[in-house]
Amino acid sequence: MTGGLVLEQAFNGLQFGMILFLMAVGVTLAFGVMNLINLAHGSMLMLGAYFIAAAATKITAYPLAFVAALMLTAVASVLLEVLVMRPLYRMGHLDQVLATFGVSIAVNEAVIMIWGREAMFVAPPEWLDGTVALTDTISYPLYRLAITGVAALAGLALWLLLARTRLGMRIRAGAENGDIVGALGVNVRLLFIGVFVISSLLAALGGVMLGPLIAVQSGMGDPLLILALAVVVIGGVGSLKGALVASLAVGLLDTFGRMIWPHLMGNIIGNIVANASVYILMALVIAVRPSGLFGNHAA
Amino acid sequence: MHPMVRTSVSAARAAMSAAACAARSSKVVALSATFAVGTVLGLAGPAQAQAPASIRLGFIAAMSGPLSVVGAEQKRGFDLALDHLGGKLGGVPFEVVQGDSKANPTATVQELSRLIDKDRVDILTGLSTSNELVAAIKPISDAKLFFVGMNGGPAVLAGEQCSPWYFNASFQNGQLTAGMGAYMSKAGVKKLYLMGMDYEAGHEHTEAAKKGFTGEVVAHAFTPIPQVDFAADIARIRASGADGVFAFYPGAPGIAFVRQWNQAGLNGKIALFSNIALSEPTVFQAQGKTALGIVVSANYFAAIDNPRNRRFVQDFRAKFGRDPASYAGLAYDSMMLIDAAVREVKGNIRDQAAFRAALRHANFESVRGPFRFNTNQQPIQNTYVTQVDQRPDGSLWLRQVSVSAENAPDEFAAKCSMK
Repeated sequence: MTGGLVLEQAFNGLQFGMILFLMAVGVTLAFGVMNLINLAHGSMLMLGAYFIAAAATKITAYPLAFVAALMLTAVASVLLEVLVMRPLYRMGHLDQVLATFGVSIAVNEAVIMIWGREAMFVAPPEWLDGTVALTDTISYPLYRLAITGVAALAGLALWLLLARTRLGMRIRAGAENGDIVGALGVNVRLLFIGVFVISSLLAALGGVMLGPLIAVQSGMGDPLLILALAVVVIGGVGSLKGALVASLAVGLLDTFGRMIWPHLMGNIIGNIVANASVYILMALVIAVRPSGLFGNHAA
Repeated sequence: MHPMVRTSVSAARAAMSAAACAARSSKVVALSATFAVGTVLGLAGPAQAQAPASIRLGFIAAMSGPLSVVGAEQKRGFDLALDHLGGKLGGVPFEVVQGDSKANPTATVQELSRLIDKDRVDILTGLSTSNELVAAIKPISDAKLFFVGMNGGPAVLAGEQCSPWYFNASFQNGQLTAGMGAYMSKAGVKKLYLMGMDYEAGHEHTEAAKKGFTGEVVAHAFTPIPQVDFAADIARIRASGADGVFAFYPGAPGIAFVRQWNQAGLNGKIALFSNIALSEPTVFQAQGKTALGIVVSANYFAAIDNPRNRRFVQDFRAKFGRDPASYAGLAYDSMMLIDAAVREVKGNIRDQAAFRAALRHANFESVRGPFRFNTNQQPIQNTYVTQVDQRPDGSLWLRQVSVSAENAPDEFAAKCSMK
């Protein structure tokens, strides 16, 4: 194993981790503030990818198509919040799981009805369609670096929003005690819509950026949601710091695991261990710290 | 944190992991629809006196799940066959009962038991993946129903566990890929990297690609079925020093693999080989120009030149606006095979010995050209090497490069007890 390969895999792991972070942070935010378990979160990633695919056929300038895709997702998420999610906030988690799982099935079928079952084509913007030389022998896709960069910026923007703005203060207060915040005259309904839209936009951002990398088709967000749920459990439900740390840990563990385990244990067992490594980590974390790395200890 | 949040964290975790399991196993989408196909003119001639008034045909394919693209394309070939058959199967009116196998063995067995016990089908056809087939053949054989397989052929079902009730009208997995090893050596590949999806078909196709390859195999790797990001694997390929890669990825992962392969700048640097699962008309739109130049083995592709295929391709293009993928061609053939066999027994499919003999005759004109069954009821057929090429209008198509084998059987027939 050469230094160049390790470096390349580190970039890969980082990029994968940042995509997971975009997913996981929305899951954890919706849970922390609205007490909502949202299994339709993968649908938001999928909608982002479909919207950029559709927008790109109408708008040639990539930045405009990018903005259009996110705006369409925002509209869709407001509708979803008002029509489906709102009554769920006060219900039990099992009801939420069933209802949001139903939403994900419905959205998966809806995109098939609108765009068909076959995968859509999304081209990366031309100015990102090259490679960067990491070492003399290894070049890395510029597009993947851009994904990591944009995801990091989105994470930073979220942190600034939560830590430095009035809206962020209210969101944090809402997470502490929603009823009191409501009694103090804050429009909790509007606040919850805001949080749901922010969560959805972060997932959709992941989808928009993954569009040119993976197949844009019905159900594309669901495997990522499963990993994002594992990330949330590892990091601690409701914790943003936990989501970031666990996302990067899972991204790097998964990427390096695929290289190291088959090398150490042979192809068959190595592959099995590599595939299970994220869940092994999750089990270990739960065993030692049942509420996750950065979760609330009173749980 | 909200007190309610605090107390319910563990409950949430349990719910999350339960939901994660549910989400993975399958989408509970009931796509199964029952529909009758034109039972116009119930005129049965005197020769069909003992034949059933109507045949119930069960069609099961992966209409949802990760490989629903395959099932949807099979359905297109199936539908075009229905158009061409004009409402009769071998001269007998028939109706279709549909099932969804979801590329999932458990779902396959459940749907089969519904088709067999509740819908009481007379003949079964379809299935999309090798893992479905491995699970399906036992219950079908137990029910003493004939099944015509439209896609895939795991080795074990061609050999030790061959069944008199199973006719594979598509290909035996190894048969489809055999010939690529020799071709890759001829193309100058010295160090080969093998990789594929981690299930029966992935194992068998990559194993078959080794045969006849004279260079060194530097790696033989598998990735889980849902994996769609191959950055880590592509880095390993580059580090391995391979000058050729054989990759088995059907459906969405195939689209992702080819696009990422290009983005990593490997196009033109390392030669990419596969069988027709990796790059064919259902994924051309999504792969775009990134697919150009990929070499794949095939037993059916749209450019095969014979009268039957010209008609099929022309009508398929008129109806669906592009070339048919092999899934559609093989589904169409399966229906024509059943049609010919029902006609041969004059609709009397209840005489199972006669019907089996008729199916074995395979007295139909295949869109592939020459086709017959071996003693293990797997196909004897030609296989080809094709390459993704571009038409003047920019659309992609599979151009024939060479013929790998003519009238070739699979290699497992000797292990099958049927003679």
